[in-house]
Amino acid sequence: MNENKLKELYKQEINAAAPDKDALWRKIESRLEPKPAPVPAPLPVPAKKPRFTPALFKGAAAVAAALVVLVGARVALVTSRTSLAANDAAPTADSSSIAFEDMEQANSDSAFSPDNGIAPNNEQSAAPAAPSEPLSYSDLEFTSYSETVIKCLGAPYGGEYFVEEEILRETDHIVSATVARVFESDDGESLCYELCDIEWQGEDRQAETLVVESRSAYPMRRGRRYLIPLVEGENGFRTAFDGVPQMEYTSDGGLVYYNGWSALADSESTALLYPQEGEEDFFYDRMRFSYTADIPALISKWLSENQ
Amino acid sequence: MTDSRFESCILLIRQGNSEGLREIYEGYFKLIFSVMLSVVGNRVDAEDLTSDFFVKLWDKLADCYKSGGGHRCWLVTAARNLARDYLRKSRRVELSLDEPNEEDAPRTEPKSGERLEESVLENISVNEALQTLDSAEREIVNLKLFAEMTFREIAKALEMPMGTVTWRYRRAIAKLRNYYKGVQGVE
Repeated sequence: MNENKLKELYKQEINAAAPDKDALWRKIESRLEPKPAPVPAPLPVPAKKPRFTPALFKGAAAVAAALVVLVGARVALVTSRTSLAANDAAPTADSSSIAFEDMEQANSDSAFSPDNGIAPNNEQSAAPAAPSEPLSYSDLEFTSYSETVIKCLGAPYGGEYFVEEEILRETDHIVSATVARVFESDDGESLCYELCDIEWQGEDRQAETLVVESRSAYPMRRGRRYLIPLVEGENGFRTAFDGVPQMEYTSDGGLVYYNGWSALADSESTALLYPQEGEEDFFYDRMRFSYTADIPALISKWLSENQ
Repeated sequence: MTDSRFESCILLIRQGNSEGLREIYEGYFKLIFSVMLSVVGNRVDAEDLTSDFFVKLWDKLADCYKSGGGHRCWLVTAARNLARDYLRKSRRVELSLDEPNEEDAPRTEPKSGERLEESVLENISVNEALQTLDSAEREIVNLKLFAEMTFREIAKALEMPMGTVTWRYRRAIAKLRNYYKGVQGVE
């Protein structure tokens, strides 16, 4: 049963349970107490109209003459236009088809074992400069694989409002981790990501693997490494916010992130065109890429929001 | 109803003209009833609270309305507050939207002895469907499916983080699907 059918059934149930409209109104009306009539505001006293006098006419003529002099002068208007650089450039590659190179490690159905060749993003002294022009996601370097990306079908786009502070307040943990395996949840409503090579940001915690549930329309890819805010509940871990793509590391030490993460902002970031996931995807052109994203600042902000 | 039309009705109410209240009632009495039902869980109390809500709108609430925040959210928040106050005064289980607990388990007994007969005559199907959900899920599902509010509006009305709203909604939908499949044989 799809959600529209469920909605139809639910509405039928509520409409059937609702009381008779007219009968309920009569009941309400009988309980209404008359309100005192509002006191009308006092009428404003009209100002006395000035009488037309010859002196007044002479004064008006002088003012009119002065206005003619002023209007005759030329006034130069200076306008400035600023060009909007962000997100306007055409992608340098076809963003609708992403080509992946074969992995150095063998692909198999068993859990993924990543290498540790991904440079940490905080090595600012060795970080290359970010390109000045907007990039395409397909231009970036990732640990690659050749299997099909598993997507969470039916997940909505754009229905959630991104507020960084609210998300951080709800976030219990932030981890850097690699996706080892992707599979459907038991109820088929979400995807589960088995994470490995986990680094808990801002806390001393250890775990070899972790399963995180997500309803995001933006899939995380097996073999890729992400910076993920998590919520820990009685049923396990889930992503803290599914409305935008998760922050993703590139294999050369960069970070792809949604531009709403203001704590990450740095002057070296560049605009990035993400693969558009559908007609209602309005976030694909609001992504940034940087080799010097301020992850410690994001972690500090998260910790301060949860003190 | 647009925000500007709603404000015109509020103005009529403030001026003592019940036509303003009638127009709001005509447009939203089912929404208010559904909100009450999702909070208190039974039809009889929900109907009484719906009546109370519109009387209160006439008496006091209209004076508290301020434009700019969306009138539907305001109505839902006010209705919800009234329902929750009713539950607290009746010394029922205290609602907690932060953590579902055992006290949110389905209720099968009527609320008070005076309403035993009425409870028996309640719409069993609605009660059964809603009782598969905890209190937070009932409210969120109602606002999403019946009131057709966006997740953002629901988060604002329930004073809940957006992520929590969407997450609980998906979990609730899964439970309702299972209910309809198992009880009504709907595929």
